Amino acid sequence: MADSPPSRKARLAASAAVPDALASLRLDAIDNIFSRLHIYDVVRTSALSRAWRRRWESLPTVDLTHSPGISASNIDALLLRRGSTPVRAFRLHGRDPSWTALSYLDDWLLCLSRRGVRDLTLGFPSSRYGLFRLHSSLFSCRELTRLSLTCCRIPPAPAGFVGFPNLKALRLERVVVDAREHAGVEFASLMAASPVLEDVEIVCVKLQRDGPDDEWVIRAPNLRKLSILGAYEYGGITEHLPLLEEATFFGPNYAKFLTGMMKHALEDGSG
Amino acid sequence: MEVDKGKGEAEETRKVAEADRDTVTLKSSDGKLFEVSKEAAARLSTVLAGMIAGGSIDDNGTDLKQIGSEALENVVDYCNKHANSIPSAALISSSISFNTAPFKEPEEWERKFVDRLSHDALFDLVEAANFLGMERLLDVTCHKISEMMKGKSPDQIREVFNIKNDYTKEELEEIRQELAWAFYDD
Repeated sequence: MADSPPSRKARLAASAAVPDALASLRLDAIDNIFSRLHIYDVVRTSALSRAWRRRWESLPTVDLTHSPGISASNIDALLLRRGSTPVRAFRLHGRDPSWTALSYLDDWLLCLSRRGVRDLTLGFPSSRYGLFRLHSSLFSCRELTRLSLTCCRIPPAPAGFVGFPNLKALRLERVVVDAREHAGVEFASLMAASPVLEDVEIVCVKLQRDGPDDEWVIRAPNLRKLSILGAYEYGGITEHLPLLEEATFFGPNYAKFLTGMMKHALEDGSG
Repeated sequence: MEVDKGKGEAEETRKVAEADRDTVTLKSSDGKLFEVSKEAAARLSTVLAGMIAGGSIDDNGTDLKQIGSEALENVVDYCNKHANSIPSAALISSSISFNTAPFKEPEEWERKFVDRLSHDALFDLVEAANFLGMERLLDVTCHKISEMMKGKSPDQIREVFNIKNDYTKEELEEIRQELAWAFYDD
């Protein structure tokens, strides 16, 4: 039946009589549903009906974590197809090492920074050739509210970087933080320059050129949850975390961080 | 409430009872009343939590004009089941929340809960969850709908959701060529 197009009149009558419940859902719900699908399934909704022709292109989320087997050129095609439509959330677990080698990811990150990405999740395969180094356009993603990175290197922040003004949640796992001088200090200033940070989780993160004798201080006036896990011994201490509700430390850092927190809790209490 | 008590005293008793009540009464668009666990309602719905905290809960039935009785019955059923179920470790431990994807997988009982719903009831429940700010229920219902779409051809999806194909044969062919990379196998 689909092959023989009915007359215009008949088409209108039919579409009115048979409501498409899926199309009548709110954008948020469609986004939620499509974020769970393989990107091929998402793109193929274009063929459902005219109402669905360009629907997926305007969805706020591009979630590629359920899309095994996609190629870099698929992701290029996808981002190109969306044109200048903002990407609110982007999630990708890179599986193919060639993506990183051929700088596809640099292009995608630049594209995402221009399209105002707010929620960014990137994971990379662990490779014997070392961790993938993210492009510094990461620091141009000024709209970020949530950033989660796994298995990569973060480059030094460019001169004049003023922080992520809206960042609420930061999670780094098996990440190396590079720095021109001292990654501990850079990390501390990144936290300080992200004033609305509420939730920070650091798992096996190496801060370049940082050691137990270095000094830097975590200041985060809105931090509610802090987790530091891993075997690297940091120089930093915590200070002035007035809203902290939950802290998890595992590894060689707990004594130092807890002492810092106790000290300030006592000072706050007496002052 | 005891009949032989003075009016003032009865009123006082009623007020105390209200404050102590561990359920709230919700009223559907078609006027049916449902009792729901106050704790679960506040935990699962940002809108109901706001109403409970703001004291705008009506003891004779809080009006939810956007939600029909069938959908509200399912909402209430879901909240009450949640109140009684033993939450998994993932739900208890807030510190683990960041590790999981933003959309969490439904629990076994939640799967069963949405599996028994008709299409219409499922879609109405998505709208109700949306309206009441019930993130978890929205995730569970959207997960169910995504499973109805997974790996299906456009023809199959049209059939499942009653979507009328209003393309010409030529238009469809054009789309398949434009997006050939996503039409790998059919």
